[in-house]
Amino acid sequence: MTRQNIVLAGVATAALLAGLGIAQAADVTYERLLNPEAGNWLTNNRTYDSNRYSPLDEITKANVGDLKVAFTVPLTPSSKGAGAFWSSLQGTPLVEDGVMYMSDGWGRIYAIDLSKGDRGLIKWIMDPQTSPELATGILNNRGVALYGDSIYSITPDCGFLRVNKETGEVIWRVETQQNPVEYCTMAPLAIKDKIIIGPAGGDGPMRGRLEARNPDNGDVIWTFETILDSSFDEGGETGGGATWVTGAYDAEKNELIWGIGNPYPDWEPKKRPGDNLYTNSTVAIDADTGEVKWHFQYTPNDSWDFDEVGTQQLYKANINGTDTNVLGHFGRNGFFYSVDGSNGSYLNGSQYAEKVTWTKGIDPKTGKPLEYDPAAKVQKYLAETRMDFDLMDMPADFEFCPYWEGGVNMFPTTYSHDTKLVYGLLMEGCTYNPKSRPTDEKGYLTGAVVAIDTATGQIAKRTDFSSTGRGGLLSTAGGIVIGTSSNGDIFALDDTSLERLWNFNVGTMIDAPPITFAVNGKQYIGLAVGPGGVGLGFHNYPGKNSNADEAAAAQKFQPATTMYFFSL
Amino acid sequence: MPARLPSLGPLLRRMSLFGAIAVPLLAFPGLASAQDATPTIDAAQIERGYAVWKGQDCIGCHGWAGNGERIGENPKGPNLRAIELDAETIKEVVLCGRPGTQMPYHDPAAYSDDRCYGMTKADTAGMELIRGKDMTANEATDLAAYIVAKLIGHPEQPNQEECQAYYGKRPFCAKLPTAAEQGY
Repeated sequence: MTRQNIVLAGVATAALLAGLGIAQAADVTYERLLNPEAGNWLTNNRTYDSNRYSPLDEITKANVGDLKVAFTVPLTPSSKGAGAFWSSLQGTPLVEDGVMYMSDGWGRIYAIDLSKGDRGLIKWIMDPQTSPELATGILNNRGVALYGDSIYSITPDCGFLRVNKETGEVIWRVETQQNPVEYCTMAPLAIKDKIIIGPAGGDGPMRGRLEARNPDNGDVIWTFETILDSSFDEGGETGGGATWVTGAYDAEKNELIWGIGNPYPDWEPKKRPGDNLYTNSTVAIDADTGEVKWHFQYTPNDSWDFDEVGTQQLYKANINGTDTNVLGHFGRNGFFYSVDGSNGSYLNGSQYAEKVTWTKGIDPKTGKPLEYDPAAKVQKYLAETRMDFDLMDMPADFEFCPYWEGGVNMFPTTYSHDTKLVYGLLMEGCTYNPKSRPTDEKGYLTGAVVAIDTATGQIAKRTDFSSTGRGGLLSTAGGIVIGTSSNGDIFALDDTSLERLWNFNVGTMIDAPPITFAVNGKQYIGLAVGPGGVGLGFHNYPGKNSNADEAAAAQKFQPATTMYFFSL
Repeated sequence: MPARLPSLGPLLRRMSLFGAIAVPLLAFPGLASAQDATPTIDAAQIERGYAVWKGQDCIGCHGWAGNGERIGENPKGPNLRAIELDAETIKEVVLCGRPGTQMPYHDPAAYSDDRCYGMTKADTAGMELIRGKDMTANEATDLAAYIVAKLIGHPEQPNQEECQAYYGKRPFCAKLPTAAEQGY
């Protein structure tokens, strides 16, 4: 088919659809991404500031108790790749004008027509036919990007795809994998004339990067290397610094604000003397050139796998009487940080996880761990918690807190424009040798939602629950926060009191963040249920929690793959 | 490649369990290789074994080249290029896993009776026991043939040809030595 024929066919289809009363999706322009319509969720974090706040207010504190399942749509069943991980649904679906675009762990994309209101009809499925032997990493694709008339996504083996939004046909595929250790899970970010992508796999001998690519042909415009050689005394096999989660974009300053993953080898800091920049950092990158404008590092010379790829929240807050552009970030290391969005300097923060044993605290001036010694090549921190051995050689009585997955992992946080609070979904507990995890309360992994006052960086409110926080959060103009947890609960909280106003249990673990959108004027909550991705058998996760029945049932969770849609 | 003696432990146990009559019913390529100076392994079987290697859950921990370079968050598996096991023992470890370690079992009925090391599920109580992807006994036989023929005794660093056989023409394969440079 020639390009002209494609265009003509598109026009004919549009006319036909218009005749049937089905709206033809318009191009997703940069302007729409900057100011998305209230009913749509057009980019991974809904808006470039990563707030995951929706102006929709049909569902409120007063009526959220009446929320019910409107319909469900199962996707392709989960299966294992060569890396022995179950494929999962961990992505944030996008919704544009009544059509949802969701990806699964194998990099398939589903277009689901939601315009009927009482059912979802799969329009097309794009299957990149990822070979199982090339699916070597964790199979948890985190979503797609919409830009122009196309969808952009990356496959588990790092094929960068442009897909026709109307038909699901692959327009082109560009290979981006540079090392067999790399795999790809990030939801690309579309900004003006660029698509931003990067690889996962930083728990292996690779070196991370961000790439800005041309939306027309997939060519590289610039590459930002996340590993600064001068900050690693040993070269060779060390590195890491993967970029496996979508960052934020400060449109005013034209800067990408991105979280960078852990150093490699994860557990043996003596093998990589130095601060290991830009691992475990937030970096601000000039979106035109890929050059670093500033950075803030959370855990220099890490030994606990404290990736800081998680949500980079951008908002204004009144800090000590001054209106300030703030980067708010829940560190996986147990601390919340407010960082000056103009230069990366530390403003304020607090310990949000109850159990933190790797440091005595954060220096209120610098934001660095109190034990951090800028002159030291290898940091000491609190020696009894410091890992200095491969994971497989962990002594039986070794422990550190928080748990190595967090704290707040990459599961999205949210900032409410109404309460001026930023909310984190966390795991509460400690890391033990898996063979000797205490079976009593000490060994529990539980969860919580913590609300932080953005002016002071202090905890305003906290609500605890029996299983770990997994999935993610959103907030709305209806005064609610929607969240999820690993016991299969999706819940609505009062955005001020954090009182639980509604709960629904899906019977297996939730790994994906909820979204909200409107179709034909009606507000929905959308959620992917498809656990997997962690360890050889996710059935063993989360292990113990504070509810014995739940903990036992969690051992028998099944790998579902279903989209849930809730409405009043 | 030096002739490898089979590990007789599991075989002796099996013989004592089932009696000598069971022996002719089982294929013993490892035993055969110990007796035969020039063992021939069917090329088609190696090819089938390679398909099992790629499609199963081996490479997460053992690496695509079987040299122990795990992928990502997987446990670190042993370098299979340096092990000294015969095909029959490899097959047994694949089907039965190694209780108490992260090596999964792949026979869906393992530990439902005493087929694995004479142990049942009850005998493994308190030991880590991980279930891998399901595999048939024939697939395990082919896989073991591949491991013996193409991994054991080969240089720890894979070569370009091996990389291209696995990944196709990815640029990173060009960074490896050629088979000729490795003396093949």
